[in-house]
Amino acid sequence: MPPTLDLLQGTLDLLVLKALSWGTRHGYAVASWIRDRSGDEFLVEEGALYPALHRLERRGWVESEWGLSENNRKAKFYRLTTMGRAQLRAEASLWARYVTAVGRVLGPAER
Amino acid sequence: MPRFRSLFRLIGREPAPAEDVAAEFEAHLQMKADALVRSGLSPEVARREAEKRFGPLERFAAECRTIDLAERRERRRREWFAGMLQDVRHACRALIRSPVFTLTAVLVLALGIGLNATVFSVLRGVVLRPLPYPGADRLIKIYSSNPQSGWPLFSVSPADFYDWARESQSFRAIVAWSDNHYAATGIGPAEQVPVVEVTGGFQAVTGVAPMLGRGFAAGEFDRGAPRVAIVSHETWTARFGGDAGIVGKRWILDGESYEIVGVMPPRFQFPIQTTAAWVPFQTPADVGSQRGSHYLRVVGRLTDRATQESAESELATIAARVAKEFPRSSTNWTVDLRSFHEDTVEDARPTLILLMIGVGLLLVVACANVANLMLVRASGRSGEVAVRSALGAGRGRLLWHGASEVLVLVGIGSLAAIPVATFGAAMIRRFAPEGVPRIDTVRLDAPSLLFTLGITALAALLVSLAPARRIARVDLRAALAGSGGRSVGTRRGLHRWLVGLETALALALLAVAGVLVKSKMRLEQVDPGFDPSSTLTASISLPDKTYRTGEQIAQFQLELLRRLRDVPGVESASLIFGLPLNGFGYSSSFSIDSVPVPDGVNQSAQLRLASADYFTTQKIPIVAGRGFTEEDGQGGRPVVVISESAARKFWPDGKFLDRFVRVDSRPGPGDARPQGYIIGVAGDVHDRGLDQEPWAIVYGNIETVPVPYASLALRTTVPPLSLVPEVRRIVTAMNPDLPLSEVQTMDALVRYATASQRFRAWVMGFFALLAAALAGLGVYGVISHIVAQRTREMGLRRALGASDSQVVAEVVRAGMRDAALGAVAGLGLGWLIASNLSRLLYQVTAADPVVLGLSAAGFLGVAFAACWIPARRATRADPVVVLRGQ
Repeated sequence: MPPTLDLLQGTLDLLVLKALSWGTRHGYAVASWIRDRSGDEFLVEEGALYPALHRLERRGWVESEWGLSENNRKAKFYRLTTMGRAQLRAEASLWARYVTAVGRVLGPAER
Repeated sequence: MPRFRSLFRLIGREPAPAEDVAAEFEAHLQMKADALVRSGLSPEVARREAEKRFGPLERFAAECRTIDLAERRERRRREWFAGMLQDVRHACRALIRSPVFTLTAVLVLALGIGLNATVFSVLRGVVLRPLPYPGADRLIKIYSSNPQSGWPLFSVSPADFYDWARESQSFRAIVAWSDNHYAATGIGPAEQVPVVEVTGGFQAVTGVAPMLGRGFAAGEFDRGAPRVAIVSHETWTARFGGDAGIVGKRWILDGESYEIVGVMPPRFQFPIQTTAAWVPFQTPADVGSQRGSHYLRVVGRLTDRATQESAESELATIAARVAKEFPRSSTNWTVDLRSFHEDTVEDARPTLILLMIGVGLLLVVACANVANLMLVRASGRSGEVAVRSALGAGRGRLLWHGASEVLVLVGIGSLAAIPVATFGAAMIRRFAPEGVPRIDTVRLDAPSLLFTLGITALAALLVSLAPARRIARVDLRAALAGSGGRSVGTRRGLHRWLVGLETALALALLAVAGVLVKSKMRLEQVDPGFDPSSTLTASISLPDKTYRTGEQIAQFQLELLRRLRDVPGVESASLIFGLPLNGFGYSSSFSIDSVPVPDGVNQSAQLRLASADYFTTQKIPIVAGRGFTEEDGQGGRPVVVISESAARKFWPDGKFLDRFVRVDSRPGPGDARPQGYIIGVAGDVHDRGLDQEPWAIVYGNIETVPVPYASLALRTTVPPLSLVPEVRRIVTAMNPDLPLSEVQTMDALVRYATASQRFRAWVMGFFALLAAALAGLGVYGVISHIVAQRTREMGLRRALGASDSQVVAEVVRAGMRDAALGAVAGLGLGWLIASNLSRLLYQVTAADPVVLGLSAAGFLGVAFAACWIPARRATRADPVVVLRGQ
């Protein structure tokens, strides 16, 4: 197994918000989406997703409802709220600045 | 997607977070396993693999549960607040829509709550608040007492006081004082000011230091030391204009120059608020010989170790030793200790507790009244309640919805109560009888407002009980099926209970007030023993600097009387040492025919010194022998007059004429003692209060025993007070530094003597009438409501031939039955309260049949009118219209 990346603190929340920005999903779909998009780079225990989802719900950034999955299983569906969407935008831009700044520090020195 | 949660919420059930989380995780694991099976794993392996990738399930589940529980709590709180706000807004709108109801309810509540706050603030300011000294609970008032002679709580003699101060270990400090009035001259106008002479413990006992200058120094209490004074803050500002350089200036009191050494801080009082200054009590030269003259008041501050009991037993031991050492003066004398606070407030307490009970009952009546109004309103809205209930509103929510209106009403009512309370407190300050301690400091302060808040909450609870009960009991089907509120109208039991309650409490108040009014009337009918009309009195006190000898005093006084007699409008002028009803008491032992009184026997009477015209001026009848004449004052055979009570007490055989009476004490400056042969008996005078038994009195002649302090009594043919300027002019002409004090009519003194009774009667009467009016209003409201609901039935019966009077009679009978039941309970309650008032009552019992009968009849009359008016109105409606109308 190739080495995988540990998730930075708070990053999981951002990923979850992003996953939900494409529409209503249940937890399993969120987990699959993150795994697919990251190319399996993150070592995430899938269950760790749920405390994040519940935390986001408590903050009012997502809301949940029970429904039926595509293969007719009962599942809890999550959806971004307006507040959650704003939060995603804010955190994403913060993340971009963070990455740029870290990149600048680590990148080749400018001449 | 169905909105499950909302639905759950509507039927009041939400899945527990634990189940919710478990189901969610299980769904995840199944979907994962499904996917793995699709990629070729066997179901068992797939399941295991899914669980492995999921991670520590129990830990995640616990985290989720914690978060969810917190979320749910927050949400509930938010929803509750939102709902509450919504209900309050709703309630406000509903109240605005019915202004008459709202105004009535607010007014009734404002009166109930406001008057409670008033009386409580008075009770607090006068009785409950600690005295204004640091560590005031350690202050103990110390009395001498002589139980054998029936003199409890007696003043203390200087000799006893100095013994206690020297020998007692129980007190950190102990102070004695004597109240005086001094003529203040020098700076400001000549006036009589209350000055207290204090001993050295003054500062240590009160624990308050002067804000300007210094306290008294040790040497200043010695006989002949230079005179110094500490003035009150009030005196400093009012008389000396707040002069910052006052310390060191001089002030003339009774002709002597005092150096002002200090100013006490504002609101300092000792012993009472009105004291203008404190001066050192200079130790008398012959302290030892003054063991029999009891004229000092004493307060001590207990040490941390001592208790009131230990201090009392210690002082009693000292007193016992003194009694053995000085049997003539001190046999049977011991001590009596009580807390200074208790001693100060105890007279005011029963009255204020009575008023508190009265005003509390009034509040209950007011609440019952508003509850009744709420019920009438609620019955018109049972349909609305039923609809809300059917739509899933929980019972708690419904109760709250009903209560919100009450809450808003009580809230507004308590705001409106603040001006009522302030006004009430001002009225009480203004009309309270004299002598209520600290009444001038009564304010609507924070604790009183807190108390008001408390009773407001209580009021809200009481008022909301009624509608809440109704909501809890509402019958959905009946309310929805019936047209509007009629079906609920059958539940009239609560209404009737409320009417009964209001009637009972109002009548109880009426009965108590009635007893108080009767007591007041009885007291006002008491013959004081003199004729108070057209009599002007004033006290005059001659400074001993200028008037050293008895001759000088007598010369001045007789000359004054002579000049006053010439004033047009003065019928007769006289002097008396010991004006009736003026709080004066001067008891002295005496001997008869020079027979020594055996040790331990107390043969004493009140001493009064009168000028020749005194009995005629006051119209005190001479019932045997004769009164004083001019000749009696000019030497010759010494004579005294005794009062009827004295004659009865000391000469039961009636052989008092020409017996020789010799009073032991010397009230004047010289050696002259009141003594002489009894020449006559004067009628009894209610000297110490109209409700008190007359004292046994020995009258000496003021011309033979001159005293520097005496009262003028003038009988006038014109309104007495119109002569005051002329009297003043005459006194000033004789001595410009001599102020006239306590200028008042005898009528006013008699009025003061009945002031407490009058105050209680008026205030309780006011509460009672208010309660009766509220209760009447309540009965009227309920009967109107019942009649309105039964209009159809009554119309039908009238159509079937019942006469108007039959229908009216039936309604009135129903209403009066409740009122009568309440009346019986109310009379019982009133009797119960009044029977605990015997201390406040004069010659009337709690179960006075006339009072109880009149109150009951009066109130039932009101109730009858309150029933009859709405019943009568119902019969005016045309039956045909009424029947069709439904």
